[in-house]
Amino acid sequence: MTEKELDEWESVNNFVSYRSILKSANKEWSAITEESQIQAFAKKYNDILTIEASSVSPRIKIRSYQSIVNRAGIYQTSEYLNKVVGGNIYTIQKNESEKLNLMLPSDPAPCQLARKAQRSGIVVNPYVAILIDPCNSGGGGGGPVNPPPPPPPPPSCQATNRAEYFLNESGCSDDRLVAIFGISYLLTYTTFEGTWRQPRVKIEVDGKIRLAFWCIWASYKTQLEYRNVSFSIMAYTRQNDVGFPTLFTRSLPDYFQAHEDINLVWDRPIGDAVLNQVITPSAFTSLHAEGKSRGTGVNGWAVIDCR
Amino acid sequence: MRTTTALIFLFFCLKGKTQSLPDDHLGKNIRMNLFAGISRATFESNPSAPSKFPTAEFRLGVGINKPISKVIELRSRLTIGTRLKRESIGQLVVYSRLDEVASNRNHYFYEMPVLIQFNLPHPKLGLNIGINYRFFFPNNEQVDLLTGRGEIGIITGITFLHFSKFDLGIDYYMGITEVFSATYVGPTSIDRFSATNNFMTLRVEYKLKK
Repeated sequence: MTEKELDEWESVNNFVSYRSILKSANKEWSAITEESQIQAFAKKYNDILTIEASSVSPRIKIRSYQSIVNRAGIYQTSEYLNKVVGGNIYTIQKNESEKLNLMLPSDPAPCQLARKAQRSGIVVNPYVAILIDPCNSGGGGGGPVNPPPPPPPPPSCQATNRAEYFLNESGCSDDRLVAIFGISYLLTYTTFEGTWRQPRVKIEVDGKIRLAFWCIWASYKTQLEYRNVSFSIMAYTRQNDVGFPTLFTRSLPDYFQAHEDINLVWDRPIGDAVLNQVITPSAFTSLHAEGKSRGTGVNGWAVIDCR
Repeated sequence: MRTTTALIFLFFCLKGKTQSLPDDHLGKNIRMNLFAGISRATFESNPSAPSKFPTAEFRLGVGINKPISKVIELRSRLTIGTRLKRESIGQLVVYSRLDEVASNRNHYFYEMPVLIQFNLPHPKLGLNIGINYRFFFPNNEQVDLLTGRGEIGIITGITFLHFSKFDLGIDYYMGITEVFSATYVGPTSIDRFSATNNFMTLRVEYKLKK
């Protein structure tokens, strides 16, 4: 999305992003002429930027995250709150939001912060590549000698993601299985201008049944539904005939299928198509999706949750 | 599965009846034949997909013909067949499942039609119509839209009665069972997509007894 589109999106949703605040701060910074103003400026924007060598540097450096987080660095994916602090994303269930208040962007010891978060049950994921782990390189600020093992992080998202729920009724006949897919792919087509590649995302639910004869699996018609589907993915915005990588975030309304079918499909283009640019399907930046069939029962949800 | 059992039962009932008849009677009433067929199979989709995903099918089996009157005969057969895989088309938004099932692997099936054939003396043609049941064999490793599923459809055809030892014919099958159905949650509406199996067969039947 362009700056203008982002501004419009914020205005429509009554949302003030980190990006907007940073933009205001940059304007104020360029108007500063006195030393006393610098101190007041630093105090006002200490939570979102640092001043180094007479220039301001945002604490969140990646533009796509600047666009989706609020001033506190928080964004929501389905039932989770995520906070960007330093090089990490701290994730917690929405009902435990107060724990994120402990994660201050100005914390001087990021390694201790990450360990403290893990001990509190917060999932910590790096969002930038760190070649040398600062926590293990001797300069990390001295954590405990044997810290408890962190909870397993959610799996990394791929371009094709799949989860299943298996209801084993009798070990053979009447077993049910529901699968949900989150797939990023390209739709390619050619016009007189050249080859267009359109990134798309498909969310798909299907059910399977195990028949009594010989315990064989087969597709079948059943009621299908999905809920809590949200994802973010890098796609492209086209400006002056060039596609620029941009982060897109979507949340789908829940859908329950009253009639019976083999498949339930949500499939949309994401961003703009690019012309004569060789691109590959992006892996999801984050994806949460839950799917169920009538056969798997009330709690039989297949859940994809990755970052 | 109940339909399969019923059709197998019907087949063996007919077969059993022929065995219980005296030999001379058998010769007059029941004719057995060997069957071979080559087909072009397609998916008929609604709304129409960009392709019908045509694939080749081959069938081998045995059949029985039982004359009911001078011009009408009852026909049935039991065949084993394979539906060959084809090249993937790719990039079909809702119909990608059909593309996948047509291109991932060969599918094997058995099939049992029950037909009534009207034999015309001039021209020497037989016109038939009936019901066809087909069951795709299971494959728990690769479960797709056809795996482990049965389907029923209408089969109709024409038989050229010019040859003493052979019957040549063409059949056309229109599936009734939806082998694919999907709900597509669109930007402004909820749409439904479905597909059935169709095929056209060129068949040869070799008469074993007359």
